[in-house]
Amino acid sequence: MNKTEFLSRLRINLCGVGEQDIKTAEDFYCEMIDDRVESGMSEQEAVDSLGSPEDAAKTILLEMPLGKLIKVKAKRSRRLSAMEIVLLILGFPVWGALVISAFAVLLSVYLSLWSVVIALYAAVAAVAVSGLAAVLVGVIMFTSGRAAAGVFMIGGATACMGLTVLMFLGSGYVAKGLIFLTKLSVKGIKKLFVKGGDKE
Amino acid sequence: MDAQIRRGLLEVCVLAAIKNRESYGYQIIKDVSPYVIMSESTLYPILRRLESSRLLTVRSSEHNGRLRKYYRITEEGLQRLRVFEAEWAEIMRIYEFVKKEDGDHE
Repeated sequence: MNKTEFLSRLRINLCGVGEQDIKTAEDFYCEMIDDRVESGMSEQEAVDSLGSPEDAAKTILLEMPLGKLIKVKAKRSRRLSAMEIVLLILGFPVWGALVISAFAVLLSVYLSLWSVVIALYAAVAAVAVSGLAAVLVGVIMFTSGRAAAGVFMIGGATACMGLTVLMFLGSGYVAKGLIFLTKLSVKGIKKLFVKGGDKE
Repeated sequence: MDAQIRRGLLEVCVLAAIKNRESYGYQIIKDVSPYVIMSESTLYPILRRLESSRLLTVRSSEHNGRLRKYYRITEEGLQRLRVFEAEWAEIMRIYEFVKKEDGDHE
């Protein structure tokens, strides 16, 4: 395979990706081949050392955001025949409901994960505000002659502050874990669209 | 090696390769090859990721009658390397502990 063939197969495999992205990828691989040739390799050797253009395209596709990848795959689908279009319209109540439910399930899982994070930070904020309020009330009680109750309130406030710090740190770890899980799921969904692309 | 860890390490390798002077794709591959195997297919998305995260900048310059892209590290990229060095010290301490534990059980 020569340079032109490599770049042409790369372009075919990136079909549907924006022209700018295809051009950037072509320029990169073209530069790589030219640099290898300049360092003494033949064009054939330089192209062979790059691996297959299909693998190169797969890696590029896997790096794309999920939404863009779905658009690329949708653009690539062949044109439908009249019969297929009729069947699609007639079958809409069935497949439409399934697609909407799948989307709703994914959305609800995503929202649930983030609700947990928001709830955790809301709890942290609540404990912190309680602590501040308890300090204020404690000081007021202390200065108004109810020293024992004041000390009790300030003790409670200190406990709240300590708890706030611990809960804040814990929430951070939980949030990081959830972000990691979300990234893993998105990667899994992407792999459904780009088969066999996990080369790294 | 875990894919996430490898990905992070490769990004750091690319940044290290352009730490002292700007460089181009093939030169980066040659510079990191004694330490880690990195193909063009691996390098390309890394460079794009680093560029979009503003850890490096890209400029095109003429070379022997054609255009070649040169990559230059940014202040954010240098900061990323400093963070990596700090984190690595911690990882090495854990590694030493694991090795020591292995030695104790043998």
